[in-house]
Amino acid sequence: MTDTTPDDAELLARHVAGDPNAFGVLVQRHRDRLWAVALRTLGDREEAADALQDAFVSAFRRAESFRGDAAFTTWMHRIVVNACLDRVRRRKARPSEPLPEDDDRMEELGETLDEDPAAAVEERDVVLKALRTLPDAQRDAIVLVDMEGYPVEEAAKILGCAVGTIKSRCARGRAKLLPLLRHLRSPDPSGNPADGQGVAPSRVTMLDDTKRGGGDA
Amino acid sequence: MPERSVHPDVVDLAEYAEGLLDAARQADIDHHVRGCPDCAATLSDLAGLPQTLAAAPVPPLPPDVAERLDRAIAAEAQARASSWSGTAQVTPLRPRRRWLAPAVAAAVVMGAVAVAVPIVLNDDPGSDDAAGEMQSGAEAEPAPEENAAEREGGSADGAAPPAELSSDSFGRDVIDNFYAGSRDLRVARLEALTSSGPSISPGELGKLPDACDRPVLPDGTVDDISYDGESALLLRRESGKAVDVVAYRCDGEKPTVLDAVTLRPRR
Repeated sequence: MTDTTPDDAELLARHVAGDPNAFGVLVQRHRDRLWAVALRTLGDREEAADALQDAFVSAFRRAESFRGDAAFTTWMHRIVVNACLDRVRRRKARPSEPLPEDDDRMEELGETLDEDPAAAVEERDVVLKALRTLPDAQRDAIVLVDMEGYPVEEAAKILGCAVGTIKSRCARGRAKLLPLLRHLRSPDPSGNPADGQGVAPSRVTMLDDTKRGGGDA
Repeated sequence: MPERSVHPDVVDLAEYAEGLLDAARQADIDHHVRGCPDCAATLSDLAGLPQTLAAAPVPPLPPDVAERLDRAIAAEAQARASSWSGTAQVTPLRPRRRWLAPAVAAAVVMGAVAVAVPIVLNDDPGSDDAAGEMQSGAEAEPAPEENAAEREGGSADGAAPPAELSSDSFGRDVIDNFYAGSRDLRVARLEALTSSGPSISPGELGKLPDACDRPVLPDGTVDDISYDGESALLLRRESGKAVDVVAYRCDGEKPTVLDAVTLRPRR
């Protein structure tokens, strides 16, 4: 129905204006990435599907509140993360339903497709499984900061806590994940990880951030 | 190993990397790491972990979840369409803008009614102006519908309407096979609208203003209608043979859509 390919903002504007198809295009465009966020955050296929559906329905209804000062993807990420957090809170209110731990459920999570290279499937499953060993709060922070690449400040806003808290959760989460995922690390080109240059540039930046943001932890 | 301090554990190292420890502990570990290849290696692995996580393959969206999302959004669109068309009460007002051509003025009146379901014409008190405007402006076929409006007063029952009110796959109201003599007021009004609306090339229609502070309304816009008692604007959008009619409000920063319907001419 469209002649050219409209961008996200244009599609959202059309949706607000009453175009019945525009939002569906947005959903199809972004659902794969957002599915990954939901699945990684919740660690459960059905809950992730519920959360993603809640999020898209909520975005459908709230589209008019989108101000365009952030990218649509950022706005949508926030809605998905909040939908996931809602589910985490509900889960906590029902302690009789803990995270399923058995490996059969894990197999489901991976949802192997034929065209996936076996190695990629294995790595994906290893990462998902490792994430599930983390407490919810640490997993939320790790998914946003380390996996989705959000700046710590943005993640703090999304999760509603202090910058220092996010850093602390990431640090503890990484410490737990390290023994599970160390073997996945791409080989160090220098071949000598013990040469004292282990702290990557991004970490150095974060150290600087801490001096500014550490006070509100 | 000659270190006087014991090895910091992984959590310590991770917090050290984030600069989360107090100054003394931070300096302590700093000193230790410089002389301890094992801890330096662990620190390096910790620093590489975010890259490993970011590079982890994305789990594919299962087809059944994709279908479920499509269904949910379709249902949402349906609900939106029916709430738009089911609750509003639209009253035509006298057109206010001087640049409106008579044909556009007709569209104001017709269009205003067009988005009302159930249709309730509030033209009893002080609406002579609106009626007069309609008579003079709309040369298409205003009178029969007006009479029908008086007779039916919002109810579409009586003779079975020959037109078909349905929804498209995304829940938008669609009216097929409408014609002017229909006893279904909504259908009749919409017919009048499509036959007597302003002549604007279709390519220029269909876009709501992205902000409400513009002095000039987009082509295809007519005002001023009353929608649920509030002032509103009406936008006609042609796409092929079909016509979208959107009633919207522009009193905030951005336009708010109040009602919308798609019309398809009789085949």
